[in-house]
Amino acid sequence: MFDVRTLLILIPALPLAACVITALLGPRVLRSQSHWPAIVAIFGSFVCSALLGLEIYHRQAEPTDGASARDTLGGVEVIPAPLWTWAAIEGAYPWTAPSNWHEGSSERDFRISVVLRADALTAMMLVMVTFVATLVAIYSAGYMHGDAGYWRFFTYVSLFVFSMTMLVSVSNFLLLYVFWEAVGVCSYLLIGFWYQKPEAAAAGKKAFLVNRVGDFGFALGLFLIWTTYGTLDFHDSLANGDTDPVRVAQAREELQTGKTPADPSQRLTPGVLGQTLLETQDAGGRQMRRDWETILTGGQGPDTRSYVGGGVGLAICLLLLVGACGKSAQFPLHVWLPDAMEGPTPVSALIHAATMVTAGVYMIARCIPLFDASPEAQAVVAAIGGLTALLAALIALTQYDLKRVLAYSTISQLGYMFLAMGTATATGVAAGMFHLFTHAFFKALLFLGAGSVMHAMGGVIDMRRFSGLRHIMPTTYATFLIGSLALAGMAPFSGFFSKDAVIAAVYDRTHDGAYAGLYSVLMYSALLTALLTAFYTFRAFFMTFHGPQQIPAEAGHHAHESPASMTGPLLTLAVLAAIIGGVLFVTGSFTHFLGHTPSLAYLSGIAGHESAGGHHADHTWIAVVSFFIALIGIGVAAFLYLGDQREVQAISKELQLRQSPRLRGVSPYQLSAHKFYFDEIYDFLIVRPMRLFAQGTYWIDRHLVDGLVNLVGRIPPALGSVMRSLQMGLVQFYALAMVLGALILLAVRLWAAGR
Amino acid sequence: MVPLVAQITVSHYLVVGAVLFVTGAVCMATKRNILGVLMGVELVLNGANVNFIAFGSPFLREHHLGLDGQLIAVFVIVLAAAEAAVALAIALNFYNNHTTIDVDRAEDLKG
Amino acid sequence: MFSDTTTVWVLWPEIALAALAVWIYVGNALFRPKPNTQTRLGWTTFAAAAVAFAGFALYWHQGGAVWRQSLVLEGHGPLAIDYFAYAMRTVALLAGFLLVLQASRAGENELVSEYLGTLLLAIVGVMLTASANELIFLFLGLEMLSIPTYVLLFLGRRDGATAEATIKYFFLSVASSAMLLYGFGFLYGMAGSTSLTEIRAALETSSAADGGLMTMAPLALILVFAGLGFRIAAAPFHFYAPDVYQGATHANASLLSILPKIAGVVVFVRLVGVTMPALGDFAWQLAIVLSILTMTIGNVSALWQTNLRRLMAYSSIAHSGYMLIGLAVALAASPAEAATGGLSSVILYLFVYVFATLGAFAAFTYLGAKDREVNRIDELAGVAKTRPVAAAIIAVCMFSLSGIPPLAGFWGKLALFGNAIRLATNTESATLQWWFIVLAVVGVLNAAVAAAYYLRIVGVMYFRTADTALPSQGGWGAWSAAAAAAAMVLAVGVLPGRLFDNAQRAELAVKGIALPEGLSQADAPTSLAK
Repeated sequence: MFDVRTLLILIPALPLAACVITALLGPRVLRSQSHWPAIVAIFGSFVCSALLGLEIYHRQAEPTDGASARDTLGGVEVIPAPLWTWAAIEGAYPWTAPSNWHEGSSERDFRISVVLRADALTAMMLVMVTFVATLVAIYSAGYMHGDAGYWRFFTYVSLFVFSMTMLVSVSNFLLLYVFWEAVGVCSYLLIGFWYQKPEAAAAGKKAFLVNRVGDFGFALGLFLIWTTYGTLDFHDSLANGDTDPVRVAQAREELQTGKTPADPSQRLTPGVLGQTLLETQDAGGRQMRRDWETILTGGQGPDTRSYVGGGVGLAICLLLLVGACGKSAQFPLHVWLPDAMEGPTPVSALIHAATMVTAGVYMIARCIPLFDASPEAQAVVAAIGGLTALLAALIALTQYDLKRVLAYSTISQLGYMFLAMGTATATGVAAGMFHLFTHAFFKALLFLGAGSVMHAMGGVIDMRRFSGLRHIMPTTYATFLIGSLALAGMAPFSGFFSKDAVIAAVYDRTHDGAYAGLYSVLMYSALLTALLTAFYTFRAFFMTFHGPQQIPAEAGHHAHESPASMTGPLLTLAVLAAIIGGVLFVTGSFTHFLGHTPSLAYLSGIAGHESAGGHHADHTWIAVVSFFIALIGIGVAAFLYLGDQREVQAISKELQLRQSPRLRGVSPYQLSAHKFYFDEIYDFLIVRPMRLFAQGTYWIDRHLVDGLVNLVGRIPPALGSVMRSLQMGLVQFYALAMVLGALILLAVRLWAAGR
Repeated sequence: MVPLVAQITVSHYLVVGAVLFVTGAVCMATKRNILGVLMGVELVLNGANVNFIAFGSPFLREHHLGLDGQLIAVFVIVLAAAEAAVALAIALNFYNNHTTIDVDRAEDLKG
Repeated sequence: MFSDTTTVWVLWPEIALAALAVWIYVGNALFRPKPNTQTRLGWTTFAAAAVAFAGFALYWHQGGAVWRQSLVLEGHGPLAIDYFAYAMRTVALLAGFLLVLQASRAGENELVSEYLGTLLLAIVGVMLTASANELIFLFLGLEMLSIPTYVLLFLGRRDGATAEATIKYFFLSVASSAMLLYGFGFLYGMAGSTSLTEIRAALETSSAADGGLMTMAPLALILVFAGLGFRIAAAPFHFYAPDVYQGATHANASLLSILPKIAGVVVFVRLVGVTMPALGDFAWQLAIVLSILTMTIGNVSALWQTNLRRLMAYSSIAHSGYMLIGLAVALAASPAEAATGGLSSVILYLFVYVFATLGAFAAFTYLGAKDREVNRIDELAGVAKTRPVAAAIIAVCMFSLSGIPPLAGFWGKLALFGNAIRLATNTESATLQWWFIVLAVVGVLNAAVAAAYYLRIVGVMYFRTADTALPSQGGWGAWSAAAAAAAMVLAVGVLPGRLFDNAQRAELAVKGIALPEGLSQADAPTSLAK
């Protein structure tokens, strides 16, 4: 239908072009019209993404006909768009294959080809990212209107969309890392967008530094992947970097029949995330692949190929997880996200709620075959996800900053996604991605709504300073309500279906298999989190929109509904937040679509095999329970925050444990209000010792090293001043020096020869 | 052959060339006047020329080497003439600026 | 030999360029409208077009044939038609093109045709030197460069400093030419031929035999070093450089730091690196001693300078010292080893040096005006604010010259020092190890010292505020020359692979080694030749 490769290249290219145009023309030419390149390009990018998604969907529906049969691997669609080779060092690494792999050791080339690949997972992320980005760009045109850095803002946003679309479409770990950093940079730039504000600058720095911790882990993971697998490509390619599906498929067939091509450049280099030999396995082979210990010790013949488990596999997964935790703000690296709310609100909506922070989830989903080989890693992912979800929800209970409440809810919802990834089952991953998808819409909606409130309130975001805004801002009110219902997991809004799917997926792991007990605990904690979520969401909602009308002084007299460019995106997102979960859930198309992703298809292959003889649990009770939990949460919030405030005060006083002043600091309320003292703990354990250490080394450097260096540094100038005196300006002397120089050289030669 | 001629070898010419060369170099290094220095240049170049001609001479070498030596000498003579022309222009320019053609007055640029 | 029309056929880009240069002289004299900016623009465009034409002629006519090594002269002709010569002619033309652009507003309007014509002839001189495989040709090529250079210096400006600079350059240059010629005399006498190929053969066959004329080989080598050392400004033949640069205009100083350097390095590579490796230990020891001396003198003296051109002169001296490292590697490596990387690193470094220096000088030219040049470093204060692009160009060039990683200069230094260390680690001989380790260490120390004064310039531009604004009337030509050079530096810095390949190919070609499989097929240009 369309040339998929062109679409795939256009998707990142358009925002990049917009970025360049805005950067060049913004300050002088475009000025207050700087939003146009970004909006047009990102919308174009969205159209391309949608077309790409449709195309992939169509190909899934009719997978085999002639030429495209080679593109598909048992219904798994991978469309490569090779661009150029970034680096190629031949024979860079004497690589030893894991013992169970059919191929022996060889010299592996270090070859980084810039290849974009489209599969279902990528297409889904692309659609989500570009759609939310389009709406946010339109919204920002209203929100940022009149800002001094108007063009700068849209330059950064375009750059971010470029980086994010590249992040989800590259097919190489190193490039993933590159764009991982690129989105980090954009995030840094946008958090500190109002760099004149010291809080914004500090928040940018904090985000950057905390992310470095994660990225360090990611980088180590990268190194370990390289030494273990001998390649960094996700997918198969030929040894000369060729990714043409037809030739790769030929090489694959040859490999499967045990032939080795004579020309070494035509040999197949299996990708890290494989898919090469998986589809040729029979059901029994697949089952054994899960049981990695058997394979590592057994050796299953020429075709057996698996992901590395054991200590190395666990290490890779955990290091990747560290990276994901940094980017997706999971415990213990979650501290940067709430502070990141210092950035402009559309940025919070786009980067710190809908898209960039989900990169960690995306990465784990992408690498799920690696996690599949390591049950311990799955358990860690799930535990971190569950713990973060609960922790963030607890903190969110007591925050008064509307955006911070939303930030903690984001962390909490990301925790749900991690929890889902931690199940490492096909349904779990699909549920996690489903939650990611719906979350993007309703969380962007909530942030944009909060931005609308903030816009009207003259920049005030403290919920104690305004209330009862429902009459002033009816559109924002209505859309925020829909977003809140979705976040609270109220049927039939989209959050209900996805959250329910996540909990159901966790429930499936509670029966048998490794760490079933842990998963049971996590499931109940997830249900508790759902209760808390419903509560704090509606607490914020009621405090903002209900109660007596109260407007802060900063808002002046013009507290009003936001302009159409802001309410338009709100309405669009509200419609989607309301229905998209239901539509996708009822039709089941999301899971089906996503299931065609190579790495996930592998999982569903296992699941299909298991479910053939296994049980298929009924999840209706979970849906019912979580519906009532949401209802209870909303009810409690309504009871406490609608009408009289006495109950709230009574309870918070009770929780303060006033009778014991010593314990006040650790009362539940204070713990929550102070975010469990994470910032303080990190400050005490890490920041201060580092600062002391830095001061010590600074002293040493200043007084010892510098002294020495200065001493040494005096030598060249001293020498220079001697040399200068030779340069006396007399041409005869210069001539003499030349002749004498030659004579001296000759004399030395004669002396040396005669010696 | 007259014995006196027969005893002259390439080495003798080389010595002549070397003497010319060194004389020229000394002249360049000691003369203050630009024209004097220019003469030194001519001497140095001709010292080299003597070598070339001696090396290329069919009478001094046992095997015939063609005309390369003589040819190079002719080229050098032409070059020297060209250089002298440029040198005079330069000297004139120097005179216009310094009202002298003593090169040791050219000492403003140093260090 | 000389009746062979192939010579003319090969040299026709040079011949055409010389003819066009003469046309610039004659044409201006014939028409001579009142000299004004228009005329000047016209002639500058003409000269630039002439250089571009010669470049394209060279590329389309000979590129492919040279690449395939299918163009061969019978016997040992006066020309070397190999990839090295071709590459160096190309570099000369590229640099020449930028020099023409750079000079678009320098100097007097009345003298524009003389200036440009002479500049083209100087470029022709470099190109002829690059092709020469014969002593006479070589010498004439060098003189073809020198004599126009005297004239150019003299045309640059008419004040005392220029007159002094011209006279110093002239006399010292002639003295060095004479020494070179004297050395050539001995080479000719030893080999009985002026052909470099035969000289090489003669040196190889009889270097072991004692007595006879061969004892003069070291003398010849010293004299050649003296003559060429002057061209590339290597110690102790470097004294002219600071004074002359200071007295010249920026345009002329850049010309002086580039064209003679290219010619000198070319001859060093072909005459010393390829023809005389048979001279044994003395050759490479001489190269090392001069290298250490040169770079140290250049760098430590530069620390004291306040005059911009004087500083650049010392920088130019120091870079010659670096380039001699590669020459020493080439001379010290056993002849049996095919490609030591010594010569290729020199070629690489030359390229990198030429464009970084050219970019800096062109930017200085741009920042000044005809009657008010940027002389002191302090005058650059605050340029980053007033002329951000020019400041960025200068900064890029300075960073490249000091060898900071993402830029071209880094790869040049990496190649040079890397090859020196590789030679030291691969050899059995303890002497060789010792010498080269010392050389590499001194080189690295020097690079560190050099960073001080390069970064000082950047610091002045970016961290100090201007007292008075610079005129910035050097014209679009100088600006675009600077930008093009800086772009080249950046491009090579980011993608050095192509340059490495070309340098290696040039080294193989100049040594007459057949190309290995991998290189022969790759990326042949599409041009053709009979």
